[in-house]
Amino acid sequence: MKISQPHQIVVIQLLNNANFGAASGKVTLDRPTQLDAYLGLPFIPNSSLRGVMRNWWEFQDSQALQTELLFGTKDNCQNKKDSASEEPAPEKDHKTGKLVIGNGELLAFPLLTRDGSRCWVLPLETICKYIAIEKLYRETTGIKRVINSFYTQSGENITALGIPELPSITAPFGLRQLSIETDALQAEIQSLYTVLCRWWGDWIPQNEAITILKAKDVQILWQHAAEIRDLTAVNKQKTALSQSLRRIETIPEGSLFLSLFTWLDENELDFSGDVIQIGSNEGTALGFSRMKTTSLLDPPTKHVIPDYTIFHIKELPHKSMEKMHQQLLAIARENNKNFRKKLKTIIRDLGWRLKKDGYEPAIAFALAQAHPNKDTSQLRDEEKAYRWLLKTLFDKSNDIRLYDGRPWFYASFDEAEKAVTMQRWEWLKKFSETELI
Amino acid sequence: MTTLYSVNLMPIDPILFGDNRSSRAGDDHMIRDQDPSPHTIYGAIGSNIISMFGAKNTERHWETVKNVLGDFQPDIASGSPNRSELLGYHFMDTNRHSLFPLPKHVRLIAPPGNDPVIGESMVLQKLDTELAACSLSEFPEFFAFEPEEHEDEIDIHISSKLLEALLCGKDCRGHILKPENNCFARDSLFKEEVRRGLGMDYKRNTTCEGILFSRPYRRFFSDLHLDSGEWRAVSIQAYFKTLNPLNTDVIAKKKIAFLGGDRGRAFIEFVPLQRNAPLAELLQSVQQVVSGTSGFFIYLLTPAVRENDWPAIDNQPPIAAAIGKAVSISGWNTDPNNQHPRPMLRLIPAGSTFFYRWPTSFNDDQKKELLAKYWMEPVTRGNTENFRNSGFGRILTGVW
Repeated sequence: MKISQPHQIVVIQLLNNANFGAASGKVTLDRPTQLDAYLGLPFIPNSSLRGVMRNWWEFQDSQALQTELLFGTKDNCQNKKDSASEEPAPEKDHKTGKLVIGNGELLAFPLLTRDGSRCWVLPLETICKYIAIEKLYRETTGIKRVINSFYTQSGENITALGIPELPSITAPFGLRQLSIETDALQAEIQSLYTVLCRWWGDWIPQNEAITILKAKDVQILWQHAAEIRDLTAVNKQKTALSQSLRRIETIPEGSLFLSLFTWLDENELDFSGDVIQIGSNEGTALGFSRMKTTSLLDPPTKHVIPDYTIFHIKELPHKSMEKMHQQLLAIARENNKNFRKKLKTIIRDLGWRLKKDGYEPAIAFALAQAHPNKDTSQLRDEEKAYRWLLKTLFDKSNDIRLYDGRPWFYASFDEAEKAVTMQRWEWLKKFSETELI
Repeated sequence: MTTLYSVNLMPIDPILFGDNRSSRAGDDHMIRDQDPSPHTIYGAIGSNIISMFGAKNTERHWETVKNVLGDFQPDIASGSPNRSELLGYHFMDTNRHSLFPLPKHVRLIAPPGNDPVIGESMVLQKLDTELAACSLSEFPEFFAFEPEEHEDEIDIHISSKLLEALLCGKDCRGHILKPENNCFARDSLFKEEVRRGLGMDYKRNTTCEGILFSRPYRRFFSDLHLDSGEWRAVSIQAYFKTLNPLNTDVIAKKKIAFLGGDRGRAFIEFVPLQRNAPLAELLQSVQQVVSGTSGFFIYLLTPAVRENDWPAIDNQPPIAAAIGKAVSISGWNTDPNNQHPRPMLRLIPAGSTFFYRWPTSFNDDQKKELLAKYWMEPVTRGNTENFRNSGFGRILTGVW
């Protein structure tokens, strides 16, 4: 890791679990993690980072000159026994070091989803803080629209930004994907993703979802992610030592932290320690971590959000709800019980076909059942129901054949269209249970 | 071009503003958090200006910055109008509203479960003696004082609007102190994060004997400002005067300053001020209500060093005072090659108030002039001038 400018953001990743212990315990924990007083999220104390880095340097630097340049002179108490002869070392004038290290603030931690895959949870406030810090030394995007969307799109469920989509996680609250209402918001989200990729490089696999929430919501998810370990000392007889049981809270492996380093020297600082060990219980192999500086350059194109993921939702959920309800109410008023019954069955069947066969095959099946080339007067109720469903899902006010006679699916659906039809189908399914009886 | 600047210090790291107790085992090994002392703020701003000129904080490397900061002077007690000055400072919330310590003569009523409310200010009675300490049994002779139920001494910071009303001597009884009125209890502005530490001998991988300590870092409240889309923290808004203008291109960019123990970092922003005095609008409001008042009072915007006598204004001693518990400060000297603690100072805390009578000969214009003369001046002005430059004892003036 090389530091060549006065202020540099460093990213730290835990290679296995770690405990940065708090001074006090809780009723159920002997050693909880030290938490931010406001955000309630864990952080790496700067004194821990500093101590570990100093330790690494001292082992490399036999004359201690470089160590003193970086970290300052040691406390005279620590200087007391400085040689093998145990003779007291001469008193030194105290000098401050040129390297100032900040707390490691939580950027992301891993969480298991319901399907067993891994997703990453990020607090919005930490992201915004380090964007503000990064502006000291490079041009960085603002994310005003993203921030405002988190606060204005409130409702029963918690607003979250899932990239590429919201993962299915166990949480005591419902999650709702941030609605992307404008192109400008979508562009900001793309920029935000670029910044995040620039910070962590390939330390978070691109195929794993990330979820950004406000810190107060991340705090709740953190309680699910933190791992509790029981430790006990063992004596020579291989039995547990009396009263040695300790319960400690650990931060899960893979968690990422950001820290601001300030380097007050003109020369480049080269820290080549690949792996360091931070926090307590080093004897039980907790706390191994790696560090690197965040890149000053944007990532190459392959790290941008793939086209099939974040997209511009063309119809907001409540609009879909209104439209679908009105459409079904119109059907409910018609005096054709058989048609209503068929329609209800078809709406339900479309759901399992979408899951089993996929989007295009399910729609193709529905189109085939709708007999698009048959005259309207000759249609049976079931065929009418399929036509009605396709017209309602796709806003086709005219005949479902295209004007030049080509089938509907000549061109592939774009993701925005798929999202709207799925959204509409969800509402149709819900309302059909009560309206189509 | 102006030489007056408002300087905003917005902490990025939790900051250690210790109370200068020993942190070693054997002396209860626990430092307590307290508000930053004026020369901590002065040092943070001064060091940042020094770095703008590529100078260092030693007499040998001072020449390039002398034009702006004045002569090199390591003794913070030595005051001179020929050096740069810290004119005062206060907190600012994340919406950039100024916050000030509640004046100490104002009583707080805090019923459990409710927001605190301003109670009746103590009414001065016996005004023909010099200020002297008195016992509680003698207290009713000096003040018409009736104890109130649920009276409390919560550490609250108030808005500039409420401060203006109090400086103008208005009756603010019943004013509710809550965030909606820009009045914040301490916890809303910052919280303590206590961290334990111990010394390590890494060669032997053992702890150093006798080095176990506890330090309360102050984490400032932060949130996301929707209008600007920015991350913001509670900040310290200071007012600084240089001898000559600073380079506008250099100060236009936000930078990082070091603040407090462990060299905590803060964003620092300089904004040139074109008005004659900072907080000038408050002064104008006070001057407008001067007619018919019995006297004036001084409000400590920053803590003042407790010197031998009570502060005299225009050679007049005060007739009454409401002061908080003394705080102790120390800090570090400026010699980077031989750093050591400064001597301890005992301070009268910010928010303390001292009351004076108007001289009998004064007309309204003279009263206004006196209020302006001492506005944001040190309490030692015209007297010892001690601690002038590093911002101790800066006062605002009010009327009663």
